[in-house]
Amino acid sequence: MVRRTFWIFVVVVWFAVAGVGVYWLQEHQISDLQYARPYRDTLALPQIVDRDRADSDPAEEELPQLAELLSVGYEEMATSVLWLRVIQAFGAKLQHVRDNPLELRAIENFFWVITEFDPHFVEAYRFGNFVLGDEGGDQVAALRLLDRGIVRNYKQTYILPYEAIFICLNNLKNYKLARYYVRLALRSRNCPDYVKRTENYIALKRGNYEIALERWVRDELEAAMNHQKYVLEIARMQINNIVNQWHFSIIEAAMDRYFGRHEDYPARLEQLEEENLIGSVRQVDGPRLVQLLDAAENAGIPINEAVDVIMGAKNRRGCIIESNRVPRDLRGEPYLLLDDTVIPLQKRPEVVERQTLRKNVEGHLLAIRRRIEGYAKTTGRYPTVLEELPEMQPGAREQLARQDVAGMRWNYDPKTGTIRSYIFPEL
Amino acid sequence: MSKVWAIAFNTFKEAVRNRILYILLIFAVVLLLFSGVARELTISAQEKIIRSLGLGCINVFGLLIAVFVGIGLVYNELDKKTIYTIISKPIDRWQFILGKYFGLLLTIYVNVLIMTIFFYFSLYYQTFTSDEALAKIYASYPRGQTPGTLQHLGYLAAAMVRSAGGTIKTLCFFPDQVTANLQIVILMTCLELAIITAFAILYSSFSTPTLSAILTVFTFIIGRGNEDIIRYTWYLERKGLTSTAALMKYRGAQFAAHIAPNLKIFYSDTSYRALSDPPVVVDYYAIAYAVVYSALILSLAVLIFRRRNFK
Repeated sequence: MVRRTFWIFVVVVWFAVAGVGVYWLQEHQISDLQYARPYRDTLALPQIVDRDRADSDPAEEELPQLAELLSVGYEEMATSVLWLRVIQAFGAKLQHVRDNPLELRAIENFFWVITEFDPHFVEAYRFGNFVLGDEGGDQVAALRLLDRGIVRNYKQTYILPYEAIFICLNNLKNYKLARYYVRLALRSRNCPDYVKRTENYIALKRGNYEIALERWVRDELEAAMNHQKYVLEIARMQINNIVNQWHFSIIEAAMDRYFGRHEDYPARLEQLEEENLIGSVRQVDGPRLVQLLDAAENAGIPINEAVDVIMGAKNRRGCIIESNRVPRDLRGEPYLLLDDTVIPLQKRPEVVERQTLRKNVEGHLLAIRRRIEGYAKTTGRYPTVLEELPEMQPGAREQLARQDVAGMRWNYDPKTGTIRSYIFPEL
Repeated sequence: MSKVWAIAFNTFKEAVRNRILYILLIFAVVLLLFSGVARELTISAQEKIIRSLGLGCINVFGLLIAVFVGIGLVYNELDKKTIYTIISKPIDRWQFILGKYFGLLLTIYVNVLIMTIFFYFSLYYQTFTSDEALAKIYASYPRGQTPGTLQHLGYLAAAMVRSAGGTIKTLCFFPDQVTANLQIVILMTCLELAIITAFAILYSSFSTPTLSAILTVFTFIIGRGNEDIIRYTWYLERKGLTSTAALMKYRGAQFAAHIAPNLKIFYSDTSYRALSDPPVVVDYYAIAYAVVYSALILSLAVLIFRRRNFK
């Protein structure tokens, strides 16, 4: 009897101890729970998220979270299966996603469920961005998905904010938001240098030419110091581009003022200067910028100081000048007006860099000279006029330029077969 | 304890004769090897797909083996009256239950090991024959030349040999970059299966195989969703516990969450980490939990089985 009581006691104690142990362990686990799930309308699971519904808020979509609940813990496996499925679905519905918004919504749902199952699946956000934004044309939906990924992978990857920058820059034209994503990307681990440089593009797109120029000047000097050949090349190209865009904006504004006065655009840029339409504006002294950049690169002075010198900070004479003359390009050459007969009247003619035109004219001249040589070989003489060349005749399959880019006829000598440009006689 | 091991070993021998086991195993191996084919269907994240499908297969088929083999273990002894020959010997009933449990666990773990071998092999083979690996081979040939069919087959054979070597190395606890973190995830799966097997034995000790299977599967689902029962109580709290019915629901859910197994601790963090870079550490809390919880369930099974009348 005593033995039986003892064993009953042992069993009771064991159950009590084990029960309390399990309870304690469970309690410990429960106390770690972080977030609540929505349990509203469980039976009314939407098959496709209805974005047109007035009360629809994508951030509170229940479907992905409920799908996670229904996966019974096999989220990773379900992620892989759904990932394969969405790739196939996209392949199959590729032709229809733009035409049928419901198809796009269904695919969007897939991405939301996948990223709910695995919030750190960066490829899913990226592919989702491609499908929804680039293929589906719904940039807002793509950005929404990227935002979700950025929040869930904060500081873990720069890729998602970097993709968001492109949507803001190229599609939404929201430069303020783009700048916000640059900041987010820069906070991420292993963020490469080129992400920082997107801020330079944003400054340019926003019309902040001086800021963009200063940034690229700094990048050029850094690249020169660190012997980064490709970055140096890009920086030089971008500085040229910024100076041109800056000066074009000045010239175009003056041309608009000219139009307001004459109801016609000027034939030459000098006319703007003659009528004092440029006004006293800040512009870049191109040759001086090049000179200062070269000097800074060779002198090896600290970058901050060099930038201050180049940009003219602290009352120094930098490359920025205030002048009422028509701005010139980085080489100090005047810009030209592109004459295109296709441009309708009352449309502002395009201002182009002399260097660009020169390359263009050089290309045209090369093609025409080859054709003249070919003509001479077959006929034994040079064409009397250029129109004798079949490619110069209207409707020819392969057309050659009948005039140069400034709208002037070619300077052709039928005796020697030489052809030159009036605006670039050296070519 | 030798009696327990004798029963366990016999249970294992009996279980490996079960045809269901082989069907499940073959199916699992085919699916594991298919995960390599899935690589071709994806546009990126190939490694993640192979790993997650492989780990998922091991878990699902381990569970199915636990359910379909475990549920009949005790019932069959009673049904075929073989229990009489066992209990007529100097074997206590708790020894019988423990023996059955360890026998079934051994069967499951051997199957998990086989699946793991195939999984590792598949993983290594996919790595050695990946596009990047093949590109390196092609790059080693002079410009304009590619390996012939025989050379290509030779390379695939070499990849198989290297895969077998990598598998053996990992099984000897020397994982490399390809199999990093996976052993811990599989260990966690084994712990989870230990609890599910204990439940299968518990249900098998007092009910029919069909009912046992249903109960075990439900226990698994509840265990996987345990944390959501708690979240449900939060929801009830937010809604307000004004009525008696709401209060009862709240208390009932809280009680259920505390007694149901919490299987999420075996996969929540580890499985995701196994697919990414950060190293996974062994969760000793989970090991303690699995041991104590399984012991409790087995004690309950022994208690019920002791009170059963076989007449």
